[in-house]
Amino acid sequence: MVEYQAFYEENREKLFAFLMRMTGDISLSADIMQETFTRHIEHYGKNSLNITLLFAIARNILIDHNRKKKRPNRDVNREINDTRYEEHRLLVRDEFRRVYDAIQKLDDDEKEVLSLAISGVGSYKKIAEILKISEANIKIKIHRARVKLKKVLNRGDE
Amino acid sequence: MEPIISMYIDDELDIDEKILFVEKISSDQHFSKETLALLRQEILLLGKATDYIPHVDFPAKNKYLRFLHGSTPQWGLAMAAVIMIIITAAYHLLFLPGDSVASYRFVLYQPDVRQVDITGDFSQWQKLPMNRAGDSGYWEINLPLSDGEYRFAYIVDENNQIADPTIQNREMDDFGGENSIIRVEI
Repeated sequence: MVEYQAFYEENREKLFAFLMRMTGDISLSADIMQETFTRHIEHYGKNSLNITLLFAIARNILIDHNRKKKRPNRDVNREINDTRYEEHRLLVRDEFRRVYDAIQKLDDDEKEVLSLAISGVGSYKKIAEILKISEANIKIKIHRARVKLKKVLNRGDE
Repeated sequence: MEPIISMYIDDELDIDEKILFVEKISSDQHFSKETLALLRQEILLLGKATDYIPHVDFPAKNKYLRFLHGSTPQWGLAMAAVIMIIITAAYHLLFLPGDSVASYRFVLYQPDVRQVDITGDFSQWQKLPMNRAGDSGYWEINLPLSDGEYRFAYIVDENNQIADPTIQNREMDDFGGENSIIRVEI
């Protein structure tokens, strides 16, 4: 358990940074992080502790969430619960808020690959394992995402 | 499209690619400008939107109790009693206290500080952040501990090490700080 605690401490910041970039939403990121670690710990003992599995789980939960979001039923409880993070939302720094908003304008696959690259997950090889696409493809997608983000940010300056 | 710029930013270049990259930087002004612009953008990209990182609540015990929710209180009590009997019987039959782990709650009252961590031999002296218990001024953390003796201390606002004021048993560490000693018996 102590080993898992160390793994959790080492990776929770990276995972939260990834989720924040993917959603731009503190309360949603917190909920998905909770769900991710809860599912991941169920694998603890069966597999060695690895960051790839953690992020692959987070990604699946995000995909499920986005699929549900497209349906028109709104969860009222979730909106009430959102006040939990009100004080933290105020702490979001303006200059970074702008970048987070710009990331939201990328296509889903570009957003995903760039968020993984900048959230400390590790090498392109690891990212390729999480996304189950080739490393060569990762190289192109990451760069395309960076260039597109630059265009989005520059447009905002005009 | 020059993926080599991103590979440079992400430390993914092998030695041949490094040579190619430096050659391109020195010969192609557009490439060099684009690299600089993306590096500056990277500073913003790497910035954290908030210092706040939520904690995960590991429902190790609740998981087994979850099915009791929604059932009638009598039924819940009966189930709890049955579980207690099974646990007690299993304990006496198998008598394996060394393998058992219990959740141990550490609590510290520090109302006017920003952060409290706990460090101890149970975490190989790695700092584990404690959680605020609402607005009470208390900080708390539950850790899974097995039978044994543990040494630990709290770290207030990242640099002030203090022993647990409610525990008498203490000793000095090698760095001039004071650690509390607890004995956990399950």
